[in-house]
Amino acid sequence: MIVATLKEIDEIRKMIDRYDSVLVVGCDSCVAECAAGGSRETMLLTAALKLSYLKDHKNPTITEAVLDRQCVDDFIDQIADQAPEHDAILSLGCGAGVQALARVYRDKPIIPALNTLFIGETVSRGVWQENCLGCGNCKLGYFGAVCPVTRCSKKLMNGPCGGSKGGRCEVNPEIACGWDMIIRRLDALGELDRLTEYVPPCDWSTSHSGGPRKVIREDQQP
Amino acid sequence: MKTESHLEKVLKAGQFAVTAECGPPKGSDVEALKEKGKSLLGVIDAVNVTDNQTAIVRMSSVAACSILKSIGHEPILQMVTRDRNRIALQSDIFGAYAMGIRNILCLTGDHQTFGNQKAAIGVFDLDSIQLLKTVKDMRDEEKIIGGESIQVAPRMFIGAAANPFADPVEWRVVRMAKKINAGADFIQTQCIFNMERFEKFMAQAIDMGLTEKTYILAGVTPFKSVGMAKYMADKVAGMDIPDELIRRMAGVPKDKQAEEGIRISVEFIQRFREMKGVSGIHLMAIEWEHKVPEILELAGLKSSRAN
Amino acid sequence: MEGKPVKIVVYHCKNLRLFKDGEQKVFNRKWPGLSLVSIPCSGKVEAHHLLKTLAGGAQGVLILACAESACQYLEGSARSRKRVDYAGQWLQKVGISPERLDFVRVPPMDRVALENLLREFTSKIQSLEVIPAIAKA
Repeated sequence: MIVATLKEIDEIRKMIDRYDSVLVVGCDSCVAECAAGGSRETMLLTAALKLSYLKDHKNPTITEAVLDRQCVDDFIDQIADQAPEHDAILSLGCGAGVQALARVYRDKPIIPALNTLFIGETVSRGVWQENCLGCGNCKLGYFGAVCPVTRCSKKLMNGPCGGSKGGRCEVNPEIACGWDMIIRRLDALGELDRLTEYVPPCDWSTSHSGGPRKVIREDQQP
Repeated sequence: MKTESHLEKVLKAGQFAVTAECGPPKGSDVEALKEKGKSLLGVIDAVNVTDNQTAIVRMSSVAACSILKSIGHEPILQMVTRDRNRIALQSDIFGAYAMGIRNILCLTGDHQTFGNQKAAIGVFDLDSIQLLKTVKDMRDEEKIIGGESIQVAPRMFIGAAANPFADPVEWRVVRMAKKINAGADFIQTQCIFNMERFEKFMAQAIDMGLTEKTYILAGVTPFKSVGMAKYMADKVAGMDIPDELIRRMAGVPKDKQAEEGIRISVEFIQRFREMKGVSGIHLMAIEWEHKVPEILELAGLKSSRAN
Repeated sequence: MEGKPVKIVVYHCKNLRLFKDGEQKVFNRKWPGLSLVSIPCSGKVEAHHLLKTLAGGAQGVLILACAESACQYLEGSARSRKRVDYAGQWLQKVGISPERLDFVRVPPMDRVALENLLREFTSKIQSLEVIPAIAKA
């Protein structure tokens, strides 16, 4: 899923203060799972904004709505009636959601309420871990299903570096050393031999380095 | 001889080699750099020029190598993959060789969050082992990454770093072997304080036949004070400093601690000279470069050296 | 009770059995401005409910929960505490005193304790400057 966090309310206010009416739009997909932009958070942010304006003796119209998915036109239609009645839309979608709304509502300012962080998993309640950088050339099969590109702070393909200590990364002891995980897992699987081979430089042209990517499937098109 | 490197000549001749580290200035102060360089002149075989060490912005290592060469040093260009992609790395290697630099130490580098530019993007297009292989292919195959041929290949004497004390411990020799296979002609180790563990590491390396394929230079760093020893033990990534050494430093009065630190380094150097498989030492006297001649003299290594 | 009545909302866990049938209405008459809301578990109250209640005009919100070990839903009372703290952080961010929210674990069926608590909370809310905008909302 896409993991995000809510921006500070001060930053959001700076961006929306100029509008008299704002439609706050959540997304009930990824960002609901990571408790950043689902129904609950949409209600929370709406109430907090109202309180914040009331305290300043201001009373803009703030309406809330939640889409099942903010990055697909069919779902964006759910706010077709509400959108025109507001000066701006405050989106609790990920970066893709914000830009999809902007594509659909060309004449409407779309303001992000979240900072989109990464592709990750829910490792336990309230804990989300980044584990995919979307490099476009998955090599997890060689590394015991632990991604060296994502889980090593230096993207080492021939790790671990000299800063690995007690399974922790030199950058920050809060970070588990990706290479320590790779070695332990391959050891447990009896496949440590995979790591003695030299891994040549990656082809990053399949990643964002090759420019913004697009997938086109004719069989899926109308 | 693979290269025209003076360091290679020394090592090949079986002399106990001495290299030392010299950090370029934080700015463009050529005189300061030359001053630092002069204190090392004639007492070492080659000087390592650090590349924005600990991710702190300093004069470029290529430029500093060239300046140190102009006063008579044999520079070892340290190159990290943190700040440059493969285009810049290969280009700088061409440039360095064109300016007469004959040795390179291939590193990944400390993470950018350690330094004074924490907001920087970390490049890490290659890792240190891929850089080793790249420099080796440039020299031996006369090709850059992707297989294109080059005119006048840079013939570098190639080095790599090894840290016998990082984790997972059982993986350290395997990783050094990987570096040697990728092209490391010589290895400079992390500062060694835990002799027992280093001896085990060396025994493993000898068993695997690695000392036949490469020259290993043992890392030495003198403590200036017990404070520095404690700081390194607690804060510096990849260090293993036994309590016994810290106690020894703490056991002497403050004004004698620098002397004690040097004494420890000298004892270590003497042990390295006896140790099988060790071809030399690499002195990292951090902001204490002017003490290097004294340390070498005390260790009986101050024969006049060619560089 | 002293001072002008202020609008206060009390969410109380029904497992506390504070009121028998019909008693709540009688009790309410004694406490003008007070709204008592019975909920299946204090854990059902989320941060957005609390902020919404305040944005809707309440001057203070009190959450009455069972002892952590007595929670029928095991972790409801524990989770509720965290949510109230989280809502308090949001209040702080928008510059409103988090004292307007309170979470208290009370003994079951103890009306005397409840009245003491209400008296204390009400006077605390009365001591806070009334935010006219909130009252108007």
